[in-house]
Amino acid sequence: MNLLRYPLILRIASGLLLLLLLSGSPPLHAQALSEAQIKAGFLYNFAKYIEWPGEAFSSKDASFVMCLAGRDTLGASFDSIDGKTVHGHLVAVRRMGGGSEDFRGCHILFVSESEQRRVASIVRTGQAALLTVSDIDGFIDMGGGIGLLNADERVQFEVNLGALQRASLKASSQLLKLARNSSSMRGKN
Amino acid sequence: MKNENLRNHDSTRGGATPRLRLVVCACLIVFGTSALAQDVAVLSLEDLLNTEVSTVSRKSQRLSETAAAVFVVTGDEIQRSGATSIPEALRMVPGVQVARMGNARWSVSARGFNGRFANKLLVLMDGRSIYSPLFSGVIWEQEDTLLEDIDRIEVIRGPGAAMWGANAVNGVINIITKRARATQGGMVSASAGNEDRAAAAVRWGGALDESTHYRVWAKGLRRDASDDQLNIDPNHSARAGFRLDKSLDGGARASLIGETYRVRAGDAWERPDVSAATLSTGFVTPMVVTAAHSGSNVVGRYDTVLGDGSELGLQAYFEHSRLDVPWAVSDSRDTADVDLQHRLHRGSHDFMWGMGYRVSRNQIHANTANFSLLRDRRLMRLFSAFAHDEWTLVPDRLRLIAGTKIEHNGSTGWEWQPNVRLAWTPSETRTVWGALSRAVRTPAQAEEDASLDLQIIPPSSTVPLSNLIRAKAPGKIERAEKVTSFDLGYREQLTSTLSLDIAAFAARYSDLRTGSLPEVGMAFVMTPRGPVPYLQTTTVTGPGLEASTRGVELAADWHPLEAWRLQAAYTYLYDHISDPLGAMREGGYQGKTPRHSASLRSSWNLARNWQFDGWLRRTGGLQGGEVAGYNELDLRLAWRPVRDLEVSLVGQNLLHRQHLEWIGDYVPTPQLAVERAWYIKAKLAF
Repeated sequence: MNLLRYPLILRIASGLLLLLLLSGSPPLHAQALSEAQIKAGFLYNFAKYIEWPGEAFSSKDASFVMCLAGRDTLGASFDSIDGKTVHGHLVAVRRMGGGSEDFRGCHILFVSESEQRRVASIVRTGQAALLTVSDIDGFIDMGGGIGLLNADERVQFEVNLGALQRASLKASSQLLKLARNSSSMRGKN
Repeated sequence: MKNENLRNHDSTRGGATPRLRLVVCACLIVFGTSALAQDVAVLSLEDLLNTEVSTVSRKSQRLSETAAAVFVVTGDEIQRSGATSIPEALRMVPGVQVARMGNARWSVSARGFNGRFANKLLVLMDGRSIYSPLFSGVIWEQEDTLLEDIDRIEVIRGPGAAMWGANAVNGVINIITKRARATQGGMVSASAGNEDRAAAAVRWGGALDESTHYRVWAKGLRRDASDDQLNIDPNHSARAGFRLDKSLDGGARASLIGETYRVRAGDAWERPDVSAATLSTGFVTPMVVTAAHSGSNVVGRYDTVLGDGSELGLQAYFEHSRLDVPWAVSDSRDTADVDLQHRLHRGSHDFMWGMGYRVSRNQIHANTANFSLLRDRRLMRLFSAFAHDEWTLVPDRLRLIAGTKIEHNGSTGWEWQPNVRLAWTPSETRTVWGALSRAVRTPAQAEEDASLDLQIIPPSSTVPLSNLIRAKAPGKIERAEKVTSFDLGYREQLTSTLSLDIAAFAARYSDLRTGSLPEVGMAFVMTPRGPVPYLQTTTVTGPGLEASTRGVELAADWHPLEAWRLQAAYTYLYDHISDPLGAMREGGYQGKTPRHSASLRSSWNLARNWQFDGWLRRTGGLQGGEVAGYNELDLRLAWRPVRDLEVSLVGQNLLHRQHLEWIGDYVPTPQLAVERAWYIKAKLAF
């Protein structure tokens, strides 16, 4: 069989097929999750690696409240954190819808992309003991607490130390080390 | 060390190592998804950082509620398309027409009226207009950037929302690059192929301090001529740029973006030649020239939140550009532009207003007998202001958007461009919108000042003399081109994996540029055989044409599998140009837009480190069949042996050895086809 006699397109196609066969079936540990799952996973981990002041909880049995403002982009993945425990508190998830401005009672606020135009006013409320997290572009530059960003087909996060300090939140050094902007925060640690 | 800590922390809670749990997770993806969600919380930070995203949600979901025909091309989609230039990437967008003339020139338009000098589309790159005031179009061969740095390209079809600048008659293309923070570290890439012979790019991003990030980049490209025998249009380009972003206290941000470039692109003009015609040696003299483009620009932007919670944005840019076409024209231009925007939220109103001022000065010389200019220096001033209110009538359901832009230019004076839009979101997943809008295109310098020989009609039995057709400069055009457009759209997220976007429109144009009733005179040309008479038919450039267009644009996005995404686009466009004067010029608008065009893209993650992408396109015929309709196919296979290295093999236009997409218009040029191409590329991040 002389492959060269076939049109280029067939040659390319057969080459690709060959490559496919050589590469074999996808490895079992193909570790891909949906963006919503990864982001929900991050929210839970932020809760674990950040210390909230005692007065953020009305009692020992009070829930750790995770709120979502705007369009629900996390869906079932967000619900899956409901009922877990962090710092000895049960996690309760709450959806605030678009337009809401009262985030009292929330410990973490995930600001959905639909709230892009309100970001400035949301982060300005500067509520104590509230960690704001968002995947909106440049979120931490606008004063947000933690920004999630897609890079290299993965989700990464960056921390705004100043915002955390203003909200009386204490981030563990492990969290800061893994932040994308860890190098530029080094001076402050 | 840090990894150890996190792992230990995590495993004290569960028992099994995170790696093991991950395997369990992955199996769950394969065999079912509902159980999986419960495992999200057991993943450690480090695992999450290393987990690949299988389903990238549309970057700008907020756009799904926009009351306009919007399409977003993400940076990732550009990478996976294998495109090596911005116009190629724009082929994905429904309602946008892209045709390539050989290897160096492009015709890009939206909703019809395409042409190499297409003039009804506004294109912005990081807020800077790349629309040339000389002929009110984009010199696509000169515009480029490091494609890896593009965050997204937002395309709004139809008369641009009131806030956009002048000349957004049929659409606005907004090219937005990533913030410097998102491009930290190093990147080098190199590619080699049969058309894009060699390309290389390098970028470095770093941080000056916690709140200041930068990147610097450089890129070079050597592209072959489309036809190796004719060797008309090889093009070489080199460019370098930087971006600096700083976040300031209180949520303020500042950016400085700069670029410098040098492009050399071969071209051939078929110069109508009367003496050759009278000697019967032909009617045109082909001139093969190399156009040299160079320039530099810098954009500064500052955004802040004021005490009352309103947002203020201030932007300024400066640009110097130079164009030299031997034997034709040389132009040197400086532009300065300042722009201010203020946005307030008050109850149910989201109010925005702004103003801008642009001054552009150029010095131009025509170096040919076939082309002359009335003025060789011009100063153009453009003042504009806009106000725009988005009023939420029923929260989360109904919004009314109304606004207008007013502008003042030196030729046609004050122009106003209002629009009113209504968006109804009956549910979170569905949007229905409608819009009525008006836009104008102000005259370009070349239209007012340039006289140009267009073509020679050979002698015939009825007219025994050669007839030279000339377009004559009017000096000033009193009326701007106008469009009134009615748009209707529907968007729905049908299931979690399938979304649909449909837009339909009908538009009426008036005062489109054309030529006056022709005047015929006689002239003589000196030849070795003595003076020879010929006819000279002159038309004066001015407003006159009317046109109507209507069309439907459709986009669908479907994830049949976690690892497989299909994106389809279809465009129907009908245009009718009426020419009451019967002038022969710019009937050239006729037949410049395919009636039907369609595209289907497939992105498939074969395995963790393999991607296989395909792109099939169909474009209908043009110019009454002179350019045949064609199907084309691009394929890309990419492999990541390690996380930071990607090797890809791309084949473009695979279905034909060569195919024609466009024939020269206005400035007569030889037909140059687009050839089958391939390249191999390696990209390393460090």
